[in-house]
Amino acid sequence: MLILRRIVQTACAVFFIVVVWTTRYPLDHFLNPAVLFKIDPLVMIMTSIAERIILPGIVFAVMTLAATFVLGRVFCGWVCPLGAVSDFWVFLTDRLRLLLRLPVKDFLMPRGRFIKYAGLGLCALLAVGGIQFVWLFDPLTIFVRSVSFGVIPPANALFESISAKLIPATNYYPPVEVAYHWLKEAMFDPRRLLFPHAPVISTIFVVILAAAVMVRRFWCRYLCPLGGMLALVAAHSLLKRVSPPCAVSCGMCKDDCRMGAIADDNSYNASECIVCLDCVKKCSGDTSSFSFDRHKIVQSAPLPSAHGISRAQFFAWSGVSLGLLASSCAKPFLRNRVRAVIRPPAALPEAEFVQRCVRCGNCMKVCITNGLQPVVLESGSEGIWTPKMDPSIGYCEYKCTLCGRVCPTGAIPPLTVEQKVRTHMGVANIARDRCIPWATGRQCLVCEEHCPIPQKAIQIREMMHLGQKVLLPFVDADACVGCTLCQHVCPVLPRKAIEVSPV
Amino acid sequence: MDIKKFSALIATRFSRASFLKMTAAALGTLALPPLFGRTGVLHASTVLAPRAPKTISTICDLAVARGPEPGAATRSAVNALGGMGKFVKKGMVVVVKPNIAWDRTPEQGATTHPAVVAALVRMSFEAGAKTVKVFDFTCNEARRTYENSGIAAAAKQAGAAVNYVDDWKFFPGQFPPGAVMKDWLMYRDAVECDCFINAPVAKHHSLTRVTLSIKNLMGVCGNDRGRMHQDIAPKIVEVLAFMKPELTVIDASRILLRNGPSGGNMSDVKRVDTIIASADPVLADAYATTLFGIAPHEIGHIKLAAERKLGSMNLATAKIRTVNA
Repeated sequence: MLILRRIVQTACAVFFIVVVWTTRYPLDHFLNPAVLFKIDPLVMIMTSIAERIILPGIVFAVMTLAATFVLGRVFCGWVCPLGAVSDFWVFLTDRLRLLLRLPVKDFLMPRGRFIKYAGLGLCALLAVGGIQFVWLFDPLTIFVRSVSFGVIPPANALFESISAKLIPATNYYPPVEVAYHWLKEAMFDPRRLLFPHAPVISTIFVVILAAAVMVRRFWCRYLCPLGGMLALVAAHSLLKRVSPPCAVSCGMCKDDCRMGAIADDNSYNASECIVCLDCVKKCSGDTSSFSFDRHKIVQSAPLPSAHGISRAQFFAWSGVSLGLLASSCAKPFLRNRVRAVIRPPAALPEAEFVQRCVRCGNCMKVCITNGLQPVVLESGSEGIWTPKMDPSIGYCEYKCTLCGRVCPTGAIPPLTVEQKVRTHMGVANIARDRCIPWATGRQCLVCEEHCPIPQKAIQIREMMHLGQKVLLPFVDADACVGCTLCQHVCPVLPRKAIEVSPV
Repeated sequence: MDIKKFSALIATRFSRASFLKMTAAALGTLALPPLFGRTGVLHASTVLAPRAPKTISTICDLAVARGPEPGAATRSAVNALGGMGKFVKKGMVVVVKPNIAWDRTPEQGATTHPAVVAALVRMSFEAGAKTVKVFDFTCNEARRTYENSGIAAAAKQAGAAVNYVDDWKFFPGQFPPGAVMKDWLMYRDAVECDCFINAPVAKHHSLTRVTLSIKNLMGVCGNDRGRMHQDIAPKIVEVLAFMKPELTVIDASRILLRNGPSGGNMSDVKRVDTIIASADPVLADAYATTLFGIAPHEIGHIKLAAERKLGSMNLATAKIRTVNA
C-alpha cells in the first residue's frame, strides 16, 4: 500500500506539472488546467461565498470533501502536488539534514497547528464579507503558479541558451538541429517566456520547501488553509487508525510520522493524519493499521473541556465578530475601483474581477504573446498578481481566445472568436509630441500597418505638416479594441508614442 | 547549534584532503563560463557576410503565368524561365521565404498562397535540393500565422523543414561601410543557404504603397524592425543588395488593394490569377506594380534599387514571356 501511495503521489504531481506545462497554444493537449482547481474545495467554496454565486464544477470540490469524510485527509497525503513535491524534497535533503544535524522537532506543536484554522477562518470571514483571499495561500494555486512562473520559463530559457551554444558548436549539424526543433515544438514556446515578477511569486514555494527541511510537511501541519478545511472534516472520518496501547513501544510510528500526528501513547490525531500509511509499514509489532470498523478503533483521550467559555474562546469569538464587521465594511471601498490596468478581454468589472481571480496564473501562462503579466501594485493592494496586459512584453492577439478558456473561476469569461474581435480592452491614444511623423515629419506608420482591425482603428491622412507632405496616423476610438499591438511595436523609446488606456 | 558544536561537526565531516578537493572543484567551475563567453572556444562569434552574387541565365527575363490555380501557375512561371534546374542544383540547401507575417487566412491576401509555397518546395526537391527550409520572422504570433496562413501544413506536406525563427540565429550582417543598415541583425539560415527563393504576396502597403519582393526581405532582418520604417527605401534596398535572391516568385493570385499590409477585408482583395517569376527581383517588382496601376518609378525603393543597378525596372526592354497555366 505504501508503494501504491508513492505511485499515486508521483502520478498526481507529474499530472499537475504536465497539465500546466501543456497550457499553451493551441491548447488541444490533454486537459484544460481550469479543471485542476475544481477539485479544490477551498478555492471553489470560498470564491463562491465571496462572489455570491455557485461556481460551475463545485460538485468536484464537494466530492473531495466527501472523500475526506470517508477516508480522512487522503487529498493531502495522496493527491496534493505541493505535498508530493515537499515529500520528495525531504527525501532528497534527508542526508543534508543528517549532515547538519538539524533538529527534527515539532517545535510549534501543538499550538502552531491552529494557525491553519486561523488562516481558514480569515479566508472564510473575508469571503462572507465579499472578499476572496484564498489566492495567496491555497496550495494548488501556489503549486500551479510556481510551476507556471518559476519552473517553466527558466527551463525554456535554459534550453534556448544551451541550444544557442551547442548548435553553432556542431556547425549546425542537421540532425542536431532537427532534434532541437522537435524538442522545442514538443515542449517549449517559440519565444522565451518573460515574467520579471516571477522570483517574487515563486518565493512562497521556496519558503515551503525550505521549511520542510526543518520540519517535514511544515506547511501542511501548521499553515495550509486547505489542509485546515480538510482536517475539520477528517476529524470525523470513517476510516480511522486502529491504535490500541502498544506492547512494543518502539516509537517508530511516532518518530516517523511526517505529520507528527501520533502521540506518545500511540493514540493519534485524526485531523492531522494524512493517511500516508508510513506507520503501518514501519510498525515493528503488528499494532498499526487502518480500519472502518468502529469497534476496533481506540480514540485518543478527548481534550478536557471546561465549563462555560474560556478566555481564549472569548477572544476568538470577539475576533470573529470584529472581523466580520471589518470585512463587510471593507467591501464597499473596493467596489469603487477604477480600472487602472488593461485587463484580459471581457474580464469582469474591476471590483468583481479582483475578487473572482484566484491568481492561478493560467491566463498568463497560456497567453500566446507573453503579454499578460502579474500586476504588482498598479491596481491597488487587493489586485496583486491579477493579470494585466503589458505592451512592453506582448500584446493581445486579435483572434486569440486562450485566456478565457483556462480561467477556473470565470473572471475572464470564455469567448468565441466572433465575440473576441468585438471586445474592447482599451483605447489607443497617440502622443503627438513623441510620434515620429507628428513630431518630426519623418515617415513611420508601424502602428497602422500592424493594426489588426480590418477597417483599421488607426487611419492615415496625408497632410501638410511642418512644411511638408506627411502621412499622419489618427486613432478611430470607436474601432479600436485596445489590443496594444500598436503600442507594442511602436519604435519610440523609452516611452511609446502610442499608448492604450484601459476601458 | 553553537560555534563549538559546529566546528566539531566540520572537523568530523571534512578532512583536509576533501576540503582541498572541494575548493579545487569550486574554483574549476569558475573556469567554465569563459568557454561559453564571447571569446570562448564554444562561442561562435559569427558575422554574416553578404550573399555571393550569381549570374543565372534564364530563357526570358520575366515570366508571367496566368491561371486559376496558384500552384500550377507557379510551376508554369518557373518553367517558362527555364525550370527550377536553373536555380537549384543537386545537394543544395534551399530557402523558400514566403510572407507569413500576419494571422490571416489565404483568401484574405495578406500572406503568400500556400499552394505557391508548396509548388516551390516540390520543384526544388525535383531539381535535387537536399533540404528546403521555409520560415518567416512574423509580425503576429508565429504559431498562429504559420497555421492560419496554411503555409506550414502545405510546406511540410511538400517535404520542407518548416520552423519558427530562433532569436539566437540572428547575427550582425557585414553591410558595406557607411551603410544605413550597418551591423543590422540578419537571420543566419536565410543568409547561409545555396539558393534563396523569395516568395512574397503582392499587396498594398500604407508606407511604401506596395509591398513586393524587396519589402518581403524584411522578414530575414532582426532587431526592432519598426526602426527600419523611418526612411525605409534605402534600408530595404541595402537588404536586397545583401541578400541577392536567386529567384523571385511573386504571388499575385489575389492582391490586396487597400488597408495593406495586414488587410483583413475581403472587399479589399482582388483576384488577378497571376504568378510572376524572375531571377531579377527589381524587374519582378516593377512588373507587379503595374497590377496596382502604378508605374515602377513611382515606388521609392524600386527606383532606388534600379539606380543602384541591383536589377532593371525597365519593362519596355525586358524580355517578358506570358504563359497560361
